[in-house]
Amino acid sequence: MASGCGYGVNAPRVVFEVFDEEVVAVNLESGHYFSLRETAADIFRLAVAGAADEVISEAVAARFPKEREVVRTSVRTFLDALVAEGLLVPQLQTATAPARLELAGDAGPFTPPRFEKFTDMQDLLLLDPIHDVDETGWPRAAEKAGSTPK
Amino acid sequence: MTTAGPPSASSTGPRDARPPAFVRQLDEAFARAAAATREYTLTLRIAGQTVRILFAGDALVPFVRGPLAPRLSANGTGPPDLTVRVWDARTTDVSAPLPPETPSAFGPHGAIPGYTAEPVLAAYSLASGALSVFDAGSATGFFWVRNEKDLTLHELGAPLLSLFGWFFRGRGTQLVHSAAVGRGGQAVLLAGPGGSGKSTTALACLEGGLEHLADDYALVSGAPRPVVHPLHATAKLNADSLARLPRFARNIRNPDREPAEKALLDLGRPAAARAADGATLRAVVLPRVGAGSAPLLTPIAPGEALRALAPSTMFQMAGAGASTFTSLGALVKAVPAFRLDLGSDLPAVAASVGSLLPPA
Repeated sequence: MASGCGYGVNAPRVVFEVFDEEVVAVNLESGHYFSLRETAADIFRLAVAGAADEVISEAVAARFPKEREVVRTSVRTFLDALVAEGLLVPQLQTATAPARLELAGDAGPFTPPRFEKFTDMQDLLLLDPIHDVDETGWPRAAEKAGSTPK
Repeated sequence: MTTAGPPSASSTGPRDARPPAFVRQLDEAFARAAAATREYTLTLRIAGQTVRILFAGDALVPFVRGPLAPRLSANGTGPPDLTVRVWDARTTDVSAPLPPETPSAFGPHGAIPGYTAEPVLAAYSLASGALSVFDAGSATGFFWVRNEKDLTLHELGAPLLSLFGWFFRGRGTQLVHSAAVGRGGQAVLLAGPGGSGKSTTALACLEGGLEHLADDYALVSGAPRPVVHPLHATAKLNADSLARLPRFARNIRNPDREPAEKALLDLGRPAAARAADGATLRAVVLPRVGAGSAPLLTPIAPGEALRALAPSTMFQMAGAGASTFTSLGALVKAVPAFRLDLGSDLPAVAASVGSLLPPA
């Protein structure tokens, strides 16, 4: 990702909800859902607010002044991961995009941002090709175990 | 009879004409089925809405009436908010029409391409061959199956579930994948994946004196505070849980089930299950099977509650999506959430859940 790029949520495929300590995001096409906490949640919130990657990196790095370069690299890697997962899409910056942001609070030691990814729903989204229909034109009902053939 | 929109929609192109044509054909098929047999009517009161169910023939009447018995209304004359037309091919010899553009594949949960959003939603169960169609414009639903013997345990326990979900979503009331119990006009949702102990907890609560509001799906309306509305008065229980709750053996509707199949319990008869039409939501509880004897109730963050409620609600039903997620996000922000580590002491489990509700 080139510096100076902005982001937007990958709508309408992705929906998300912001809580005080967590962002929950769902990819409606894949069925994957995600939990982002701490710095990861901050980065996601800033990204969907329209901030450029440089602005996001600087805002996070400002909380960890002893590790600025490590933080910047880590933030950009994380933004790339959010794009790769289809949660964010790169987009052109608008005139209203924030040029500078501050994150509040004592951050403690820096921990690289990460998300939890849940894939237990993806099998529910598989398509079912239609192979075998009866005289009604509708697919036959699956035969119940133990039932007598009709 | 409620009918679909006029064919004038065809002047705007085939995409607009298609749903009304399908609905009109369904209406005509139901009329033929009713003429071939006899029409039966049930009127229900659900979440403040009057639902009228018209049956062509009586084959499917007991399958719908049993699980919805507590929702039956004596007022059968007023105009309904939702009308559902129900028939089977076995006794009427009338099949449901295919959509004008026959699908080559079904989407998740049998969703029929072209009918995954209003004005017309449709889904076909490959397991049972049951078709559900909802026309939002006329607030009319259709349910057809070849043979009532094809209905799955899920459909027997929760008849017309998709139709109710589609209709009530348009009225600001969300079908939520969750069990629910209540007392004194207040309720707790019990959410989590299959096998987490929702049904066992809800029935333990019923045995402990709480009202059983839902086993698998509850209706929840949103503003100004979430209200839980009971729908089906049934529960499904595996053999292990049934052995721990032997009182409910008398409620089993499928005594001849396969060994691996869950027991389907009819809860329409116990007075405790005849809950009021709505109960204000007090908390969301996520049960989890634990190893100890005593249950442990622990506060959790709302995000964890949303992750338990939203994906299974959204992805286990055709046609659910962003609006469902938004509704559930608001729900978990409105009430506290707890993790409940279940112990072996079921009366203590009921007491733990009951501690979140007003005293009896």
